[in-house]
Amino acid sequence: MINCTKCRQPLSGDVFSPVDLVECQTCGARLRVDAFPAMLTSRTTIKLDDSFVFDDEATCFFHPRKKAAVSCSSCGRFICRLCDVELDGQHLCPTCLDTGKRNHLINNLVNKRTLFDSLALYLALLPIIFVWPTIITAPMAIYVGIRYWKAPTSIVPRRKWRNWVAVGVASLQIIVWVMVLFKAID
Amino acid sequence: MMDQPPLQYRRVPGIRRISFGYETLHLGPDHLLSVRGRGWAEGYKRFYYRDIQAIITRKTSIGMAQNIACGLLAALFMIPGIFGDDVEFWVWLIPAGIFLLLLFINWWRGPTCICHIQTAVQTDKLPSLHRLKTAAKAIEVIRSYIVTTQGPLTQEQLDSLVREAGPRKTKGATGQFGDKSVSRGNMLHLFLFILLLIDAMFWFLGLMKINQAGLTMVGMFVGLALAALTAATLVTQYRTGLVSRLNALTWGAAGYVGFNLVYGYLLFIYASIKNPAASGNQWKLLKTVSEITAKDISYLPRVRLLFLLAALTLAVLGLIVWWLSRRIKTASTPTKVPPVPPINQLRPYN
Repeated sequence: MINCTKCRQPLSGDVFSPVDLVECQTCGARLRVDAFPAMLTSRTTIKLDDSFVFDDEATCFFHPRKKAAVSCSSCGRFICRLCDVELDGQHLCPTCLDTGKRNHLINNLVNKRTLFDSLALYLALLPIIFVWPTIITAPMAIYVGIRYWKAPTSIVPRRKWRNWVAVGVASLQIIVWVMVLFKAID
Repeated sequence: MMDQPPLQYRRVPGIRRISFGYETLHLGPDHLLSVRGRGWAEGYKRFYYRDIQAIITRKTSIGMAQNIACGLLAALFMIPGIFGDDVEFWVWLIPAGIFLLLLFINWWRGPTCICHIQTAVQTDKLPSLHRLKTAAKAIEVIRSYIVTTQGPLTQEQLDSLVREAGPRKTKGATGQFGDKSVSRGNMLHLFLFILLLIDAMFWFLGLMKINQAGLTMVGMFVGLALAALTAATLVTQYRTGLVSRLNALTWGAAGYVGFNLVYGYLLFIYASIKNPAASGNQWKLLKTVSEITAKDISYLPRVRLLFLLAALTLAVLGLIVWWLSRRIKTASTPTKVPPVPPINQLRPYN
């Protein structure tokens, strides 16, 4: 059922009323619950076919004694219900799923990304506070900004201004350092 | 290996900013994406629409605590400014002004909340939904996507959920909209803020050095009427589920009235000390009070200015919020436990 997120005790039925915030009957916290039909839907269980297969029937690539239920959308291997992973409307075998995750080929399995444009921006801006480290971080910012210009950033929409600002600011820092060095030499 | 096109995401209202990071929510084709950015990396968590059972929103008092902290800090910085010279006054006014601005912004953004999303296997927090107003907007958008996937919650399903959860075991307050005390409270608020405007006008006359005993007496009665009206408004708005900003402004008015009474009391004491012969005669005492100028108390104009600003701010904000609150519809059921309403009766939070 639904529990209060503060005291973890069960909530009464009036929390489903979408009129206003309702007090928890145990701790008095004011909350509101937006419920959906999935709360009442029981989990569907997959009926695994354990029967032996005959010679003329297709078998699972990973379980030779199990009947094949579907073929992998990626590699075409026949797989049983146990091996089948349905993702984005496609059926994948465990090997392709693992490969897709490791090589970041399946969008829905991407759990983290390195944002090289943010890294370049931090390298360009943060060291300005201390001034001297910019002599090292400015070239690093330019390298990261240009080297990873076309690298995939966030999976959500994101603009490229960070790269431009990082490279621009780092370039300015290098110009200033060159001028300072020339003046020092003179 | 398959080459999938990038997924299209739509951002949900609400963002939580932390040092070198942020948390946002995005709507995908078949899932809700929670994005957590830290430094130069992002982490993603997906909640598939078909799996979402409920979204639970709980109001917190973090916003109120922030308001109190900002208010206290502003007052702390204002005190040395009041008792210092002109330069010190303006110097101390800057940090006090900053905290007052932060207080105003925090108050305007509305009360804070925590949202959780429940599936069959987990209940996770949605950090980007931390303001009640934003959470209401975001949940309406998310709901439309979930309903497209799961279908709407029918009346029978809702009744089944309510029966399964059971009735309320203890007496607790539910949002009781629609009873008569709300409409009385609203009219009392209107009178309160109009009286605050009138009080501000008396402070303005004081600043312009228009001091007469008669005016001081009328101003005193206005102050007493303000105190009585504030007390009545606080009593009638207690637990009526009124708009929380109006609630906060009434409490602000109560604080203003408190300071006002203390100020008046101190002035009368000063007048008694300055003119002991007038102590036995109320009218002479009033005249002595009205004749107190900056020559007697150097920081008097500053105090009057602060009271004028406070009264004006409370009055103007109060009238605006009162007018906005009149536009919100209230439910018509005055029962203790509201019956389960039809599915299509969805309302924004207050």
